[in-house]
Amino acid sequence: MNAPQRNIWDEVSGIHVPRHWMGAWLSYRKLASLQQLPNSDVRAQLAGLYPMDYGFTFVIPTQATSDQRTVIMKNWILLAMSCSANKDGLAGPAAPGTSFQAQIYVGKYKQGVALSDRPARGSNQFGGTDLANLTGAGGTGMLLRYLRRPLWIPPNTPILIRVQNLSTNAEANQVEIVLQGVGE
Amino acid sequence: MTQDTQEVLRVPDAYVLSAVLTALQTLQFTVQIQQKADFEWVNRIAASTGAFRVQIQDAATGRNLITNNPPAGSAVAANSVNAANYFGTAQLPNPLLQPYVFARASAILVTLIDTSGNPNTIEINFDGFDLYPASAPHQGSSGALVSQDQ
Repeated sequence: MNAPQRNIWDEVSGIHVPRHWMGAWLSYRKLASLQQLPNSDVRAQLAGLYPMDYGFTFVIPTQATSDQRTVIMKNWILLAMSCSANKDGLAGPAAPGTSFQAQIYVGKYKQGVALSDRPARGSNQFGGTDLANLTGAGGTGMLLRYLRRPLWIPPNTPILIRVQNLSTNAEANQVEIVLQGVGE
Repeated sequence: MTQDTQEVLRVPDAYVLSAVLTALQTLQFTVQIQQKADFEWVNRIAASTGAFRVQIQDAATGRNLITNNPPAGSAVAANSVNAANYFGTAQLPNPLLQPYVFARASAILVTLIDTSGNPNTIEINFDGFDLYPASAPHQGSSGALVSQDQ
């Protein structure tokens, strides 16, 4: 059987503005999602692609900086980002990503592009979490940050992530950033 | 080229993996997709009593759905991510904006790695839909392979 012609998220019939297109599926983020999720026109371009996530794991000593680079080998579309760090919230409850700052570079185009003009705290760019729902280690998989407009990354494009550990804890901070998307 | 497509009937279904890991244990599990229908994976949901990492592979195509090249010398397993970055909860699921279809009778290979250092009870819920031809749902998926290239 062929794959469904329409994305399941667009299959909710009888929607009237201003009801959100995901309203039937997501009980919590109807309004917030409207600002963050790519619209149906953009999602239609994802047909035929499959989920492909890139994880970047860092083990960084106190207040040190670390880089990681990977090359995207096939066409890939960046949809969302999430993060975790095991030194978040040592002094009390804190959002995931508060113990490091990061900057992402994509070697697209001639000069490459950075997704922010300077390093930003992980909690400000990789989504959040609902502490009431937290199980296991804190990460932002449940409230990850979606790009309103997905970023197409052509084949053979390097991605570089530079992370600075902001924790003063004597132990190394294990930071993980996951770029979630779809590819060929 | 015009491709022959057909309307799809979606029936809610979920494939659930329940596992108990000892401290720092790594185990691979197979989630068997039933013969009755192709399965469209829509939401990533999991709960656990401790932190763990996950690798996921479509056994039919050999595709790893996660790529990770940890730094040399790191104890982190390749092509795995922290589950907290990959799964949501039932209330706040991690939705696949472009859902993934597993062919019927195929399998999902799931490798779980405990990182909590304690016994870990894990449940992963592959939430989605069984896909039937709308014109003849009793036929199941009729044995035809799923095409991801439409």
